[in-house]
Amino acid sequence: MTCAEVVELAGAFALGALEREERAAVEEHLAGPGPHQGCLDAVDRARATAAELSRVLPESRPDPGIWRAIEARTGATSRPQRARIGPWGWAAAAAAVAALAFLQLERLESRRQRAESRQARAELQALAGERDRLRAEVGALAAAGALQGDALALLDRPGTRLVSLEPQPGQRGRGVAIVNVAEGRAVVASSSLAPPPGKTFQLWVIRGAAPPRPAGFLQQTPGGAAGEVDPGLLRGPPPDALAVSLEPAGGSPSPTQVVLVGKVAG
Amino acid sequence: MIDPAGLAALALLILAAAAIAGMDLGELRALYDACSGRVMAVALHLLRDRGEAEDVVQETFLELWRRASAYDPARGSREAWAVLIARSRALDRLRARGSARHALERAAEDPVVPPPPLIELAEARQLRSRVQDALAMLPAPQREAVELAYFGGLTQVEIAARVGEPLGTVKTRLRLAMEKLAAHLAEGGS
Repeated sequence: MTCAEVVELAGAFALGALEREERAAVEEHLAGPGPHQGCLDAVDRARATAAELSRVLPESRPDPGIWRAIEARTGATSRPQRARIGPWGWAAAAAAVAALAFLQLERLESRRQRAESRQARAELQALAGERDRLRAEVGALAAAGALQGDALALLDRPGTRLVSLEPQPGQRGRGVAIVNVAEGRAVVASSSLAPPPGKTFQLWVIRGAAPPRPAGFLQQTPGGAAGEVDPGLLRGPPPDALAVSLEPAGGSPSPTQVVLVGKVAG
Repeated sequence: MIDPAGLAALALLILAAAAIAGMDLGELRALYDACSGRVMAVALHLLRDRGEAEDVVQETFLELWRRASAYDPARGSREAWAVLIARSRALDRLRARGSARHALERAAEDPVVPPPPLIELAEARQLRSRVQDALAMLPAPQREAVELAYFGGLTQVEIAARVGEPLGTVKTRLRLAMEKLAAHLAEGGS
């Protein structure tokens, strides 16, 4: 087989569409000493294209046990890594927190009936504080779950498109905005943003030369941070851009440190 | 007791083994985190059997581990390499059981899997749109040939039989389609 013949077959070879004998002949040619004239490049290019086609398929996570089996078969061990928490993990965590809150409330109730001494009253107060904290945690988890559900629904709406949010000079991370201009809705999500203590990520809507308008905040969600852009700011023509900035807790009237920007219009 | 010459030989062996490996387990894990979802998707789509697809995932990453020294960054990304190995292994299994056509016919029956997190889903959707756009711009016969080959796991001969066209025509369609796809995807960037 010649280099020219391999160039001719490169696409079918990369797609795995050659018959066994033809495929073996191409492999034998590629493994040969050469000199090769364009065939290696043609095969590399076709392989890269074929690999991209896999993106059309929805991703599917293998069972967590698969990695353990691979690790065992490599005959080595790695440093322990932080486990990824998937949506079901968060759901389980939310359920566990809710169950804990319920148990604590039960405990609170029974303690209340027996509370006669000052010590018991103090404990009651502490448990009430813990109950409130747990309620707040459950509420935050539920809100994150609701936002995720809304965003997934928006993703499937006709006319929804995705806008890349790119890091500004000197900044790290990236994000994506799920935007539906016709419905005046947008959700911004990032898998790589985590605010430092005492700080928050604020959303901005940018139109022309007008000052950026504050449009909400990102909240921590399973796998990163996400937030819905204030729908009131999306009425009318689409904005020129959406941005995320790092701000003191509570936010700012104008952006302090812009982290990500994504162009919407055009 | 091992003599000094034995120790030296052992040290050389260990160094040689490390050089051959060319990838530590942490790197393999990072690669697994980055693309095991795609690798699994490719295997599952062709095999339609979760257990078998997970076997392919294992085989793929073990092959990447064993053949790490053969990897040449100039010839493509490790992720692309992983996907191609997985697809090749899945096709081998599929053809061994003679069921490529069945896989094609069952392609609409997507298995039920837990949804990935929002952000991964959104990013994957963005990349998927780019590839879908590239496929959509192909003339219908060329798109059909690529889809039958890539998603159906059919060979050129099988595609020709299926669409009732001469083998030469199918070969030309696949070649032109892959050239156009490569050009379109390169324009869009990665």
